Amino acid sequence: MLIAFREWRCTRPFWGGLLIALGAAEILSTTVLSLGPAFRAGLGGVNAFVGVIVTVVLGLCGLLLWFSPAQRAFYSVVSVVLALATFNTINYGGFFLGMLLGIVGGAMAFAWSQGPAPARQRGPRNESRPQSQSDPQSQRSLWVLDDPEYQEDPEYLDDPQDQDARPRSGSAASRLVRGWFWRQGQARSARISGRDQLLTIAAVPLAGLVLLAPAQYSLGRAATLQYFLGRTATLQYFLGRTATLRHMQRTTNGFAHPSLSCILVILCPPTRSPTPSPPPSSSPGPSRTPSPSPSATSPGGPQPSPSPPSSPGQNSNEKAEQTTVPQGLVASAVPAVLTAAAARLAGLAYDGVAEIPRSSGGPVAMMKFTLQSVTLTGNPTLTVHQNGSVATTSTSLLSFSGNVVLYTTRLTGELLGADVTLTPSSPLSLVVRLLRPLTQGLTVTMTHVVTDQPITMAATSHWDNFHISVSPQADVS
Amino acid sequence: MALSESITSPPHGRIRWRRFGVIMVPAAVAAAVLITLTAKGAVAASFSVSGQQFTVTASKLTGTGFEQYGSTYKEPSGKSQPVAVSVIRNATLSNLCQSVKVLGMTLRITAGSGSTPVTASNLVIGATDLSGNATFQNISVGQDAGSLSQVPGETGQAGTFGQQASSVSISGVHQVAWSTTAGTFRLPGFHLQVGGAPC
Repeated sequence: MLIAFREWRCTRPFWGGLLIALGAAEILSTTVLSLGPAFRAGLGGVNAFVGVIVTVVLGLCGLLLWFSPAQRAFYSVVSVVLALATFNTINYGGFFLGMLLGIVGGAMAFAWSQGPAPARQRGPRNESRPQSQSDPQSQRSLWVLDDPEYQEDPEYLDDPQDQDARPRSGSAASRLVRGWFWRQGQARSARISGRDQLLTIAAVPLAGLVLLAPAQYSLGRAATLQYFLGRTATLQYFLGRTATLRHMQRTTNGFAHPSLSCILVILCPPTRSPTPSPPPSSSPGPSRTPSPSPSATSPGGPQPSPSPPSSPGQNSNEKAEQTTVPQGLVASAVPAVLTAAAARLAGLAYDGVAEIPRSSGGPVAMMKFTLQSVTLTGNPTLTVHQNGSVATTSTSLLSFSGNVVLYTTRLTGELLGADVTLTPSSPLSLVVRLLRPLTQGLTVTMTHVVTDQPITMAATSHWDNFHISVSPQADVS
Repeated sequence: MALSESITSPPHGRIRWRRFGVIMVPAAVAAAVLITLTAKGAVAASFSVSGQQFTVTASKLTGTGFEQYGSTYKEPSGKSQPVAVSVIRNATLSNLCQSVKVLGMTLRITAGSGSTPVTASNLVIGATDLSGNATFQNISVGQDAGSLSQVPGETGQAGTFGQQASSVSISGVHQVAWSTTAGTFRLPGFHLQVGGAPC
């Protein structure tokens, strides 16, 4: 058994193939493809996929060197090329190691020789060595003629007598390679004729090797082009999706005009345009206050109920509030809580209840607040429970500024020493809503703030010393 | 060297080291060229690591098109590892340092320490731990991860918590990651150190 294996091992380029296969395995081990459904490889996955294919073929070459050793010259050279290609396609060739194993293994397999059949051939050829040395011309034409590609090259065959001349045809790279082989041939082909066939077979892939670097370069260029194309597509996507790109740009430029800017591409907050917005002097009344809301939404999405303001009272409020849901906004359905010891709220205005759709289940009623800015201090922490895990984002200071919109199902805290709990249905929220003209001009500080299911949007947000940590939900009841 | 060796036992092969050099030398040259071009940032590399914990740090990360959502990475052992996935469509990183453990060795990659930072497109990082000082533009926190739109084609699982921003800037980035994928990674000043200290 052992002897049989040894026999098997000695009759093929075992070690070269082994190194190649090991190198491919090492490269794949650095990337460990996740086949889990929950994890997405992302957009980089396409490029990563190329790397995986290259590596798999590399490994196959290693195995084929074992099981089809007759074609070893081809497999070994392809292995070397593929090993080199892994450097830029997959984790720097498994952080060098796999690439190195592939190259060394490929070179070893290429250098392996002497199956039984070639060994028999070798005898007579070796005997012919002296003549060959004395007659390099014939020697050269011999190894040139071995290569079918060169046979078809008339220029090459035309000057076999020209001993010192380097091969002239072909690209600079191939000339280089041929020249190199020519020197090799001069030095050694005379002695080992059996090598010649392999050398010539190797010439073409070697030219490929020399050309590999520029090819890779252009590959990178192509990727860049692709990326720019992708960007253009993105721009078109946004343009198609909303016609408010200008607004967004204005906001990002930091010159956000309150009446024009959109908080997000997908969301245009209530624009406090001068006409519909109630001035502080105007008497707050149920029939009056809802008017800003429907007018506010005009730049954003569609208005399902464009004519609500006539009927006063709660009904009209709810209808009006539904229009404030920006197109494309979908609330997450997992429990999320934002807590902070203190929240400084500037220019708070309660806009009413919005029915925010969810991906599953019905829409959820959320209070909608608009603010100039929110600054949370005292270890502001966002806790999210999902996928059987808890994700905590803690910061030392969390601020949102510039057309802040906050949706929440429940807001509790202490305001001026009094406990405040706001929910979409609580009477207090109605009071806050009535006080909107007043609160808009104020900056108030709430303490012990707890916000349930927060959705926050803002032109700018700072997270000082943030720390996001995700852990399995073991420590949570 | 050439011939006295071989032919004693015809069926058995052996390695001719001169022929080995015929392949090895040009391959080494080609590898050197590739590495040099990569180190200059002229050639992009593709990067995809997952299944082991590793550290990524950078003195500054800026990016356009940012999304973040929760996901679960399945370890090879079958255990589920919850991660926060950060997706950046176009990222620039200064003083990038990654340390990975491969076959028991710590490999440390640094790049972008000079005037030219590292650039990456479609960077997807699944991390259990992420810290720094961040500024976001046009942020939206708390929307459905399935409705994220800042990186086209890349969304989280519908129903889960997601956030996105049109641009992000994080200083003092420190991540403990389980997976990193980048479509194209340009690494000027690429330096790989074997057996170094983790980042």
